[in-house]
Amino acid sequence: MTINVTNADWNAVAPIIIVAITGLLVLLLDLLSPKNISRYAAILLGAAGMIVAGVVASLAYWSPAYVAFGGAFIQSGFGIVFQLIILIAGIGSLILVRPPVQNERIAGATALMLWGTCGAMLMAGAGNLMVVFLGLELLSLALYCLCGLADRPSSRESALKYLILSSTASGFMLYGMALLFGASGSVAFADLANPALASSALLWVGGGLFLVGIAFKLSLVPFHAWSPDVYEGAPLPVTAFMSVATKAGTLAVFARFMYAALPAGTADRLLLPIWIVAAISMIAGNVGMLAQHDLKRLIAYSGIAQVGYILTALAGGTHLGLRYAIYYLAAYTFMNLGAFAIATTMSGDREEGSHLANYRGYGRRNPVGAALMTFFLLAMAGLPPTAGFLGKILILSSSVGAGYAWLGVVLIIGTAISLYAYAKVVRAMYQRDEHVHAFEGHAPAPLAWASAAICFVVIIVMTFYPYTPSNVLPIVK
Amino acid sequence: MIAFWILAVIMLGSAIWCISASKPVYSVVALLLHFAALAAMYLTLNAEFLAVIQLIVYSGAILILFLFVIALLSSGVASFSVGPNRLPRIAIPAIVLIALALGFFTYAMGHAGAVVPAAQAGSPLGPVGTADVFGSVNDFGKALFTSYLLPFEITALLLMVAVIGVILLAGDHAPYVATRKHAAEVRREMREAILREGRQ
Repeated sequence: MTINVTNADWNAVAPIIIVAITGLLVLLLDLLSPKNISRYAAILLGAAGMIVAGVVASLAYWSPAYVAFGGAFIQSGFGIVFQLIILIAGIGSLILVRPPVQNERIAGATALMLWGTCGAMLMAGAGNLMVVFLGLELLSLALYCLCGLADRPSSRESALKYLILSSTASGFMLYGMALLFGASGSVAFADLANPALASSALLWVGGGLFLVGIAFKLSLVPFHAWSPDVYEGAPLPVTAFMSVATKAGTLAVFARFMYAALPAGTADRLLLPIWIVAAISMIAGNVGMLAQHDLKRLIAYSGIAQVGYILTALAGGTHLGLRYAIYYLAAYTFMNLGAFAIATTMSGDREEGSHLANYRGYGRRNPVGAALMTFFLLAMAGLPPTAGFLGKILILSSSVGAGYAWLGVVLIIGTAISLYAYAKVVRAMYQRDEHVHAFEGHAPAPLAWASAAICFVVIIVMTFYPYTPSNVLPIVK
Repeated sequence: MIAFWILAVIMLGSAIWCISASKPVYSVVALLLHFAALAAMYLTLNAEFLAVIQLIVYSGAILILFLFVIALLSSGVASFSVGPNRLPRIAIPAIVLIALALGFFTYAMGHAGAVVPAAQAGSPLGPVGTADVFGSVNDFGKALFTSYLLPFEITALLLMVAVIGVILLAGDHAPYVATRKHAAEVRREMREAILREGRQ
């Protein structure tokens, strides 16, 4: 069982190679320059590398899909769309890097973020379980280190918690993969779709354990306890990256597993626990949001619920559902990045601007910032002129069409609960409060403002020109 | 089959010993036993290359690394300072869960369908150790650099991420600069000390 590696194989992973090499370049420049590399140089070089990678990836979008490295990697529209979302998340969070991540660590932080992006991109295009696992570990390893970057105890706590819990989840996933390998005799997704396996108990046990790992990485409800603590302790840009890239990569793996790697007739029963868990997440995530006092914790709980919404779109396994899920994932990416960008503009040298007390009276101190923040929060809640609203409408239509109307009902209930939580932040920003603990005097953050403005424009455009990618059915052969 | 059961008992026993040992050194010894049994199990599966790698890399290198760390940390030889024993409180739920999981797995394995031998189709079991035989070095290397080239390359990146991450976390605030400055300072102090000596 040998294959010949050709140029086409390398072309398929070219965007990933570009991102990885950019990481090396940043480190090399840091080493060669007499002082440390400046923050802007590192960030702009990293962002430029990711933009080039994005262009290279999107050039291949309409060309026919093919299998590279003997099935290890699949070059297809599906993988490319997810890779683009991951790259956007990478760029959008990389440009938010500023103190308290010290300037001495900026090159390392940039490189790790680039390599974490590589890991998520590999997950998006993975054609076998081995690449899925390695991509996941690449992403996770980078994130463990990034979480601990800020010089404060909560950051170290966050890194350690993430390391231990995530490794345990990886163990579950690996055990599941081993059993799937035992069932099919191959690590490729393509061989799992063998109808002879539908009655194999190994497939059921292995698939179940595999899904436990996926549910952990998506922070679905019984496996969600890590995410608020880890998000809160990690530096702001890392939280932004984690909240989008990890979820995008894992969702790509889940979608590929669900759409293309399951023997016919097993999907309904094997995936039922995931839909139930998604429903619980939509309620529990939004309820959990009500009690939070920190933007990062709030977004952690919000993320739990948002993944539930995306899974609602996937339920039933229709082509349309997948397109809508990708649309909502993209909208979610921009809302999250926008909210984090505004929080970054409020950060000082020692303190990050994520505590909700900082937002009291923000509407008077900075009307533009408050208006943008309101917009992003309302988009997360799914109110009309935003892509969040349109995305939820699309998800509802597909879930009803696919026979999962009960998930749609849960989605509406969850959204209703979440409105209160988001409105609480908005009210704090605009309420008249004379005794505001003024948290002011921050360094200007032009990149963060630019990011927030771009996110705003993109969400508006997405609302009025809702393009859902059509070339995205995940293929495995 | 008998070999499997003996090895399985040794592996499980040493794993339990490893996590319940009172001193870190005992844990390492238990882990050594575990790795050795695992290597033997690879041998019974005709994967002699993996067995050798298991012995060299894990038992040889990684365990020694553990021992170094324990020796360097002065607390290594002392007992773990364990907190209050939480076992009684979680004993019943744990036993129920383990029993459920074991029962489920036993049932599942008993009803496992036929394994589809896709991967093994082109690799006949022949005399151990010769080329083009499942588990041989030749076969292993060929698979590593053709069918599994991509995972192999990702592993390289993975190791680099781990190294850079550790440097980033473990170094002080300015890893390179501070070290360089420190070295320069040390050299200057030494030079001055030598000059003083000469003057006296």
